[in-house]
Amino acid sequence: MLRTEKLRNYVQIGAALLQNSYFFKGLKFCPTPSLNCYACPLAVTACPMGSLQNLILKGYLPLAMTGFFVSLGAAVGRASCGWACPFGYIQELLGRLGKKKLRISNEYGWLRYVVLAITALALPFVLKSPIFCKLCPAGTLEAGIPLAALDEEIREIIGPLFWLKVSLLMAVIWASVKIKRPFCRFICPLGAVYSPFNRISALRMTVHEKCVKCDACREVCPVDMSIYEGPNSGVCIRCMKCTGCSAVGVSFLGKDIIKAGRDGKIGRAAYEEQR
Amino acid sequence: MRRFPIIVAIMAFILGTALIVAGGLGGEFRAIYLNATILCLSCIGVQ
Repeated sequence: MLRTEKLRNYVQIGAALLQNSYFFKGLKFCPTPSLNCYACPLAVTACPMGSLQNLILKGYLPLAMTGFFVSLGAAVGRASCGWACPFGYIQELLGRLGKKKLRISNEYGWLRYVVLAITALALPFVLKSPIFCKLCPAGTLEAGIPLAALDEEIREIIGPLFWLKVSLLMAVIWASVKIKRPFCRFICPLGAVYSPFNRISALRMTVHEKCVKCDACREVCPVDMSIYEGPNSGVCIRCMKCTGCSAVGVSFLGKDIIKAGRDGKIGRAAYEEQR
Repeated sequence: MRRFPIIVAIMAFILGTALIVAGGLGGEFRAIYLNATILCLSCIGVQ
């Protein structure tokens, strides 16, 4: 396994544990960088999407939440999707179960913006209800099911919407086995918020001209993209898995962290050597 | 990397930080805390 990939695995596990560590619940004023339901019995921080919707429905102009998204996006783009999202990590683990993947073009990524505009912005404002939370499969997995399992009173008030949520979760779980990170690529409104910042963020992917466009990077990529097509497009979650090829690098504020075009193998041979 | 995107990234980061401070002064973090500590039950499709 790649060194960066090993590190990312540890960071993903650490982030999931830190956000759901049960203690330090005084941190709930602080939004997490990723989708993590604050109704989870173990959650210690606030979900940014849930917070955004609740601020909107309560009539706040969400300045701090917007600032949080802008700062984080400007610093690392979508890296929090690739490194800190527990639901993204679960999808990646599920993806390991199915070897043959259905390939769906990332062109349908615009669906995330529709989900963001309708369920997380417009409907909460009009209906005064957090509509995305009511459908969110991450919330069902992290909070809905555990709460229903732990509390008899909660079980008694469960209605048809809960079973719709469970069905959506099941659909995402099934899709995650068949398709690479489907929720992140086509549904997640938080990914839609961070995506445009990839183009300007301080953390950037770089591709050296020695890249032979063999598409081996697409095979290892958790969001099924060829890095040479758009190293700083909104699709990339900055997981850095493609840096196994020496033609691909990463920079922060113009300084190379992993140099593109360094000595070493390129393409399929590079990824196979590190497997 | 060209200098332009670095400046844009830094300016965006500063703007974001200013918005966080402005929102915080307006009581937004208190609202987030209160919202995150009540049992909202949206996760089970109620309310």
